[in-house]
Amino acid sequence: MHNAKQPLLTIENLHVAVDDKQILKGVDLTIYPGEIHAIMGPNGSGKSTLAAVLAGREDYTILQGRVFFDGKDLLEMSPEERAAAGLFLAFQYPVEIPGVSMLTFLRTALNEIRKSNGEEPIDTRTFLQRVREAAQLLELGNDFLQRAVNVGFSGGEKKRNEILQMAVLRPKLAILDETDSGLDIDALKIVANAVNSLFGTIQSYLIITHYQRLLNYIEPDYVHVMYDGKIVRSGDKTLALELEAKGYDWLRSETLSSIELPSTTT
Amino acid sequence: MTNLQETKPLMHLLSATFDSLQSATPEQLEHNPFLQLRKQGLDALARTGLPTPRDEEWKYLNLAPYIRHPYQLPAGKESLSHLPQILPITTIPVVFFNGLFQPHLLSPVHGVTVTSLAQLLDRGSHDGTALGEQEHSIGQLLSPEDDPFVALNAALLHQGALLHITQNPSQPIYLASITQSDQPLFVNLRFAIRLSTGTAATIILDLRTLSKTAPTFHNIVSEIWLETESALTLIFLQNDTAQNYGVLTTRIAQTARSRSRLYTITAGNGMVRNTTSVQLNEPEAETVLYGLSVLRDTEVADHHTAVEHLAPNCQSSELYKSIVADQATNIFNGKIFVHPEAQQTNAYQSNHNILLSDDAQVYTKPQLEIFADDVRCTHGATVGQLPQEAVFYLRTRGLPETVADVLLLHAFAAEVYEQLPLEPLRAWIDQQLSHRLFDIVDLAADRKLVDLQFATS
Repeated sequence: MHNAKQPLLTIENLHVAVDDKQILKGVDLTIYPGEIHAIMGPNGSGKSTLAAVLAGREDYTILQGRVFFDGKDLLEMSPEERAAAGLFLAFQYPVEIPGVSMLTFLRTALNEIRKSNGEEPIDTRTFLQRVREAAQLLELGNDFLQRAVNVGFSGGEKKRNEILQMAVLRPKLAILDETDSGLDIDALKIVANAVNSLFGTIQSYLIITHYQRLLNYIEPDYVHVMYDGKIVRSGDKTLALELEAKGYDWLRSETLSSIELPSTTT
Repeated sequence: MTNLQETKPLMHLLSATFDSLQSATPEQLEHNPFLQLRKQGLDALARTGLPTPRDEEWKYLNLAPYIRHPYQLPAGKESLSHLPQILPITTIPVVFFNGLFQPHLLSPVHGVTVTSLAQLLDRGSHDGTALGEQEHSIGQLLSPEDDPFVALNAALLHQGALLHITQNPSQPIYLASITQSDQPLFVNLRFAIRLSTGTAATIILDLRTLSKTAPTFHNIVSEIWLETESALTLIFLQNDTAQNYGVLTTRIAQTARSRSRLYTITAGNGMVRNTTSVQLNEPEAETVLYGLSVLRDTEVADHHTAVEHLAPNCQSSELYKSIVADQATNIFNGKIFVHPEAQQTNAYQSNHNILLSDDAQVYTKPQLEIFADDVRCTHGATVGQLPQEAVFYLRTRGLPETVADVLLLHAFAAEVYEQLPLEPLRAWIDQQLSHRLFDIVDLAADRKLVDLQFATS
């Protein structure tokens, strides 16, 4: 159905180690524009490592494999080049930046990305409008924008702030790394609603989660199960429900008994 | 003078003092307090000499490279035709050019009495009550016995100013030393400042040299009295050039409900030693000390502070930060003394440092001595590097590494001066420091500050 399109993200046989310990052992994944993918899996399966490697974190060693983003070799790009190309990672643990206000941070980020893409800095009015709309979407007050980035934010505010940044920066692909963890049900709905309403502006999502509950609100086209550094199973959204019902232990025994080659395209 | 061999650094400067004491009559020596102070200074220097790293209080600052030059004291009647535009604000200029007071730059100001020390001295006889009362005399707060540079300052006592603030001045007082000379110059200045009851003033103490080739060494001693409910903001600007060296010794004595707020911005002068002490002598006095060093090349900043709580219900708060690159060195030594009678003291101190190179050095030492029991006293010191997690986070949002570095360093530094009154001066300091940070992280010169929108605070 998407043969005419170029894939947005292609991961081929990716092997990654950290401190001599191999974490990813051959990941394949292809995401086309207009698709929502979810990766599920137990703790320690390599989900967050995959997210970090895609965002450009430097303390990982790429042992093997290739990654293309929008036709470009992603692994050759710096984190800021990836951001400029339209890749966004919502952090599982957002970082505090004391002394830098949200407004300064967002404007600097947006203008650096625009600069990389040969665009003029955004005018103040358009910028403020965009930021206020984003804050409204995430149900964060305007005073939130005066505060230092993530400093003194509650866990839920930090997660919503990640999505607010996504709404302002408008990437092509957003990777949400356990954005649902630590959110109460109301906050979860706010985040899901924002993610859904931005879909379109943002071409594709890769949602990394331990639990199925976020997927009640954001409907994935594809669900992948990661286990021991590989995608061991892919399916549609019913796979998430199956996982939820059977738990990850089911997967553990399955993987041990049958060596199933991972399939990423359906 | 036998112990002050002229071959030792700076000691050749003392010959005129020596001569003046030789030629003075016994009666003059007995009745002229300034001659007595010079003699005390000479005697103290003869005993101790100039400090070396063997002295505990000067352990990490080796003065040898800075004092070895063939310095000369100001001579002649050099005059500055007009005040160079350095700061973006209008001020009351109390300016010294090549070490000599420039009274013509100063128009009479309501509520501020400025007296030239040299004029008092040259008049020959004076009772030494610098600011009208015995307790406000030069030498009452800082004696030559306290410190070798106070001794040297006393021995060379000549130029300086007495400032008496009796009503709130409408503008900040610009207490500045400006030099321009082909020869190494030694500028020895003495200040005595008194704020009368209920007055408020801002004083900027600025050291500038327009010399490109020869160094200027400043030895500045300031004694400051804050009377009841007076309020002083004192800003030390030390963001000049590498040829500008300075040793600044400052003591503030505070009475009831007086407030002092000090800002020390060190970012450019080749070597600066600040020995700053505050005595909270009466109840409910408050002091706040802010210091920021942004250092590169081989610059050295040495901040020694001492806060003495001598009365109940006083408050002191200290925040010193440094960013140290290349082979630069920052030293912080912060003493807090809480005397037995100083119950209900609140005293806070923190010192945070970021090292940007393997060769940069930071020494930090809090020293707290508490002899009262009902006291709230906290201190903390950190030395670290740029937080790489934060740099990565910013990069994933599209900021190039250098921009991320500058943004983080700027935020770290700005905490020290964001409360500074006089918005145009604060903005000017911010701009100067931002440019310096850009240089330090080696950002391409075509980057404009405005890109980062720092000013939107």
